[in-house]
Amino acid sequence: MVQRCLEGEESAQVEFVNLFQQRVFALCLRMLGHRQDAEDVTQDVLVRALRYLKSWDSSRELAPWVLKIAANRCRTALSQRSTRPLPVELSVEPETPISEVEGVAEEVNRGLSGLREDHRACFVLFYQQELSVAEVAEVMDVPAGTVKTWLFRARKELADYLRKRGLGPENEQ
Amino acid sequence: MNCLEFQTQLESAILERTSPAPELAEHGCTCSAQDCRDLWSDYILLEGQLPLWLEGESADSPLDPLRVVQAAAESSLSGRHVRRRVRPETRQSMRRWLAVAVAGVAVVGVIAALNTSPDLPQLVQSPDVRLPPEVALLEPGDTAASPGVSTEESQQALTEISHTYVGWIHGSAHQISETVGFVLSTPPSMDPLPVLPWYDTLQEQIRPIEESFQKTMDGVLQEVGGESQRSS
Repeated sequence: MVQRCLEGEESAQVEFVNLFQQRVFALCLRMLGHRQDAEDVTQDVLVRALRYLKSWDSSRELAPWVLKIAANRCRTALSQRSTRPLPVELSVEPETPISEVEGVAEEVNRGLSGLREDHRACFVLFYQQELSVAEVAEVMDVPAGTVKTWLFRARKELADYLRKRGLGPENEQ
Repeated sequence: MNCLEFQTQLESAILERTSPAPELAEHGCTCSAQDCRDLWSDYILLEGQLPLWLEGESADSPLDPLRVVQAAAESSLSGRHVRRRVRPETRQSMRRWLAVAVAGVAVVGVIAALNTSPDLPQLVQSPDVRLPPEVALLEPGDTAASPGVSTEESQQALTEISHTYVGWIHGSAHQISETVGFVLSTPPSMDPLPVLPWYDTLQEQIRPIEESFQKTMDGVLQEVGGESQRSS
């Protein structure tokens, strides 16, 4: 498929987009916490991936390469966002503890948005993208030991946040 | 199981996404160390919430794959365009500065030509070239009727003035064209500028003008010379 993409075959490029767009969008959504921003960045990521596909090292896995672009673009989008107001979806503080199961995802996302950017990326790549520690390290360009450290810090901070928000074994009893 | 073993095995279970052994749960719930109980509590909390997090939010991408592919094609084109777009701005700026420089040098050249021309002092100072007031005020048709000045003398004076003016203009034009040529041409010792092909095109554009100017001047000189020969 990559070879056909490089030859400019449109159907192969559509196939490429179909193969990765859900994963990239899910990562961007969890990283950015804003659907419209995630759509924009996803498009940007896929466009860049197609454009620079020839620079992909075929001896490596394709998915981490694409996700690496996504992580970098999310980082760029977040740094640009720091110069303008937060999107509404992230700036709204919940008034009351949530009790419904549907609200858990939203609450976890809020907790994630409060994490340090690299901790959040590490957490999302590991749990949501189901990458191994080695793959996360490759995507984030850091040693595997750093990934483990960031992952456990992210888990700890998120658990503390969720507990504060009324979620947890002692609150469910 | 001691606390260190508990922490190591729990870490492995998390990283390898495996279910923890029963003795891990037992240690985590019953250990007297607060750290172990906190670790186990966090583990239970997250293992319970994260599956809901993954299912809870729809992450279906609404992008149209075909539009993404088209955007990629356009992007690669516009990428080239961006690289091109930088150059004209630089070139325009350089062209503007060079035009100012050329104009300035041309003015200086004209002034220098005027000051250094051997004909100009002659024109100003030579009593031979100065026209009698009667000639200077005459209309072309009235020259024959002027009292006190012969037709031959007037003709000769006019011819000399023509020679002087033509020589002056010719010299100035030559100075300007040489100055422009000097400014626009690259000295052989310098490396040619890689992104300034308009130098050559500008020189090529100027060359016909210079040649036609030269021809015109030569024609005028020949004409004036022929007339003076005929009149003499």
